[in-house]
This record gives sequence, C-alpha cells and structure tokens, in this order.
Amino acid sequence: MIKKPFLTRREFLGITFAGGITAFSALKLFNLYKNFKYRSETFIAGADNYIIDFSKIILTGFKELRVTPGEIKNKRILLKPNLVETHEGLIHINTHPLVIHGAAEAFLTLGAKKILIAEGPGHCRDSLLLLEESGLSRILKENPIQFIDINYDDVYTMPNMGGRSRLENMVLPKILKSVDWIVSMAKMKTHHWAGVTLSMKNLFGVMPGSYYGWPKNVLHWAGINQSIFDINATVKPHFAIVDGVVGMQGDGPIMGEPINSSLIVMGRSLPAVDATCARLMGIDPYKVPHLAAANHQLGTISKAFIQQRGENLSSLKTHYNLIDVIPAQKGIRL
Amino acid sequence: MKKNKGLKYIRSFSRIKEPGMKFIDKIIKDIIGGIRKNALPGGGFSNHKNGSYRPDATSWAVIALSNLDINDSSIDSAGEKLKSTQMPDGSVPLKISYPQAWWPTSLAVIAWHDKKQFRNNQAKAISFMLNFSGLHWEQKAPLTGHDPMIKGWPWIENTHSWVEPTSLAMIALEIAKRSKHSRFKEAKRMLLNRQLASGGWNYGNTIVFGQQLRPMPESTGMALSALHKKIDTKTIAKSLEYLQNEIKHLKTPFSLGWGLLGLGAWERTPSDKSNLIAGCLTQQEIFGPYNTLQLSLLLIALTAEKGLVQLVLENHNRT
Repeated sequence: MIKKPFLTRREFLGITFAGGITAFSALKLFNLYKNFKYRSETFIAGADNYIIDFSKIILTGFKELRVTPGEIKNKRILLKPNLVETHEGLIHINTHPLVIHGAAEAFLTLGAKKILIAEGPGHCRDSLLLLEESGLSRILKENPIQFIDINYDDVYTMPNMGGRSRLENMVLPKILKSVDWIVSMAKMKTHHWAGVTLSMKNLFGVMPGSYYGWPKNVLHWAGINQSIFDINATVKPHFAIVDGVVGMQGDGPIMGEPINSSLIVMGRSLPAVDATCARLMGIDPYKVPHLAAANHQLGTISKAFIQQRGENLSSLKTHYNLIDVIPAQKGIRL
Repeated sequence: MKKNKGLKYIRSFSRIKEPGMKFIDKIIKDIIGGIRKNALPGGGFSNHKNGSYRPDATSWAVIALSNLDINDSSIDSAGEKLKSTQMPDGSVPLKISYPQAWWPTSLAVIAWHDKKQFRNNQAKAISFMLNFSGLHWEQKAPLTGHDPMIKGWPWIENTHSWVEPTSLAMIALEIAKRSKHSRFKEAKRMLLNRQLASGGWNYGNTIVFGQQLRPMPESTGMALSALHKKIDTKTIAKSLEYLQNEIKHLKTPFSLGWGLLGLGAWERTPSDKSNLIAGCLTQQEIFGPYNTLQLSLLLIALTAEKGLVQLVLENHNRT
C-alpha cells in the first residue's frame, strides 16, 4: 500500500503561499511599525543670503518642531559646525559663522545656560586657523561662546553602539559628556566618498584627530558609511541644523562648486533631516548607503513618515551636480 | 619647580638679532609661564590647564624648554614620564590603552635627544620607528595623485602614511643621526611625491578625482623642516614661495610656528618674526590661553634661527 504523504503537493504549495503572504505582511507591518516609531518632523526655511536674521529663522523652526524653553532652559548646548578647510572667497566649504551665531542666539533666547562650539577638523591640524579664516573667531570675540578643539580634548572610551564598522570602541572627546544637547550644524554638500555630507557625516568631526588621524583615516579603513552609522549610534546627537544657503555640488566636500539652495533645514532626527536635505538636492536618500542604513535603525528616511514644516520641499528643490566618475555619486539621483 | 632665573640664562637670547630685546624678553617669559602652568605634579605636561598627561605636549615642552639655559626640574621629570609610558616595543603611544596611536614616538626621540639617561629609550624608539610603517599598496586605478606604494609613517597603526607624521619621523631620525637609513631616504621620496605641483603640502593628498587639492601652511612648514639640507632649493622653490606669501598673514600658533620653522630651515626667516609671534600671542584674547603644543612651537620658532633640526643639534654641540 502506498503511504499517503504527510502533505500533498497542493497542500504544501498552499501553506507555503499562505506563509509567504503572512511573512510578507508581517514584514510590511514591521516596517510600518518602525516607520511609525521613528516618524519625524523637519523644518525647512528659505534663506536667500547670509545677512538675514538666522536666530529668528531658527526660533521659528524651534516653535514648529516644538522645541520649548522648558526643554532648553539651563542646558549646555554644544554646536558642532562643519569646518574643513578655508580659502579666500570659498563660502561653500564650511558652515557659515552667521548661521552658527544665529543658532547660539536662538538657544540662548530659549534659556540655554552655556553655548559651546566644538570641532575636530579632519584635514587641517590648525583649528584656530579655520576659526580665524572662516570668520568664526569674530563671533567668539563678540560673544560669550567657548571653542573646544576636539582634536586635542581629553578623551573617554565607549563601546561601539552601532556595530557596523570594525571599530570595537569609540574614543570620544570629554566635552561630549559635559553637555546636554549635541547639535550637528552641517553644510549641505555632496561628498566624493559618502555621496552626501550632511548632519550625520558631520559627526566625523567629533572623533579626535589625535586618535583617528588627519585625515581621519582610521574611519576610512573601518568603512566610511559604516563609521558614520556607528558614530551616530554611539554619540546620539539631539538636533540638526543644515546650512544650505550656499551649498556645494560636484566634487565635495572641498573641491566642488557653490550652489544656492537658499535654505536651512532643521530637525530632531538626523536621518530625517539628511533625507530631507538629500531630496532637496535631487538625491535619493535610499541610494546613499549611510542614510539607507540609518533607516529604521536610527530614524526614518521615508518621505511618508517625515512631516515637513515650514517651506514646501518640492518648491525649494535644486538639483546638485553629481559626477559619474565618482563611484559614491553614481546612480544616486532621485 | 624652580623659577626662571631671568633672561641672562636664556641661551637663545644672544642669538636673536632683532632690535627690542625687552620686547622679546617679555614674549619669552610669557610663553614659559604659559607652558609651566600645564606641568603636572607627577611629571610631564598636559596640553591645557587641568588636562591629562599627553606625551606629545610633554615632548614639545621639553624640546622648547631644553633650548633655554634655565634650570627647570620639569624637563627631567618630563623625560622620566615619557620613559614610563614607553611600550616594550619602543613606541610611545598617546595613551597606553590606545597603543595604535604611536605617532608621539618621533617627538619622544627628539625630546630625549642629548640626555644620557634616556639614550636606551631613544634607541628603542628609533628601532621601533624604523620597523613600522603605514599601509601601502600598488595603485591600479589612479584615484589619487600620489604613489601609495612609497612608505612613510602614519598617524595611527594600520592606516596610510601622511605628510605630518612622516615629516616628524624624518626630523627625529635626522636629529638622531639616522638620515642615511633607507627608510629616511624613502620617506624623503614620499614627501616629494606628495608635494603639490603648484607648491606646498597639505595633510598628504595631491590630486583626488582629477582635481589638485590646496596647500596648508602647517604641513608645508613641517615638510620643509624635514627636507632641510636634503634636496636642492630648486625642488622646493614653489613651496618656499607659497609659504613666504602666507607667513605674513598667519596669526595662529600652529601654522605660524611651523611656517617660521620651515622657512628658517631654508634661511628664509622673515625680518619681523618676533612681531608676528607677538601678534599671534595677543590672539589669546579671542581663543583663550594657548595650549602647551602651541606655546612650545612659538617658543621654538622664536629661538630657532635655522629651523628645528638645527636648533636641537646646536644645543647638543654646545653641551
């Protein structure tokens, strides 16, 4: 007698199909849950030039994003600009000092106890030269703001909370421990190794050069995109403000050309802010490896789950030039 | 710590030919005072007030203060502190718990120079340097303008070689009379390979994706210091020209200090050197007190007539 199989072929296919549908639905539901969990808001403000009142713009952004005086009062705020290199007439490399000044004023208006500017430039060992030539030294001279050179700060070690790169631990500047808020103040730029450099990539500058080199070659060998993920997962920054008044297109982060985006982008979630910036640059955030990796892990990059406040995204979109011979920029167009 | 006994003890004083000795006297005294504030009770120096021990800050302070005829006990105790942080392999890392950051080893070699009690430590450190290099490879697709096969020294273990650690290593080897070693010669080739076609050096990339990058004064000053008397002037003429143009605008200690040392090595010291340094010191009103490294560099630049190598070797010959 022929034994009846445990399952007939038809039953097996039926179960597999049903299981597939269930798994697919579960995955969809899981992604939906993740997106919902990380749903964010970003604020886009038009800013035609660097003469306007940035503190007013940033305060409007705070209001839209529900950053309240109660949240900021008596807090120590660390502003981390993007200072790379300075050369006469090149205002598209570094975060503009007047945007930094505006942010400092806005946080002080909400009752912040202390404002610190901290940076660990990756190319230039002379951080003071960058302050001097970028014009940031004038802001320091006229305001009660302290500058910390992260490259030479005392350090502490943390386990790598991201686990994407081969770095076991992260050596971080002690100043991070003594502040309540870390604000990444990036410049809107394309990047020849990472596709874009925005608020997440800007945190390369919190890794002290004394321990990571000039350039921060340890992070290059550990994987640039993986390191961006790991630094953000470990440092856990609180807020992002991106200077896109004049951005950089093409061969960023230093040799590209200026482009007027005429805007500022802000938000509490760095992946959401960077995804918004990428879309404003005409770049698909899902095609930028470090942003794709951050999705559902450190925030959302889904347009449907990022509520845009302020200006309309599509009306301010500017297509940044991408260079095809640069692998990190190939095929990332939106 | 013994107090500075006065300028008659400052050996370099007699060698400064500029007018206004009282003015220079004041600058030197201020700088020494600033460095001493960062001396640690257990020996060595921190980089800034209330900071932790750092071998780089310690080495720079020793190099700067050893050049002066002052009886300063902090110099010997700093040398001892450096010795206590030397690893069994001879390296002197930034932190014992982070041994891969061994770039301060070159600085320790310079700081220990001319000090009998540290002769063995210096020899071990040199041996370490000669046996280690960065990551190097044959470039198949030319992404960058330089030849990544030529060995120099990296900032951190298992990374590529760059201009500044290579320059510091060459300076240390020359001071220790090891400039005939094949590694020194290869490093010289590396520096020349990283020189920008338009003159000057930056951290160590020349061309990336077809675009020539820009020079930086501090890297240029270091490379020129390292190449001192090792090549003909013609080879570095554009770099000297770049630095001579830059130097008059520099107001920050790191760039100005290395800029002056680089030019000094090639006998191009600007006539208003002490004014430039004095102007740089006034910038502390904006930036706050300069750290040990910055103050030491300014002091060395002020007292060195012909660059860092010459200064350290001259002191050795006198003692």
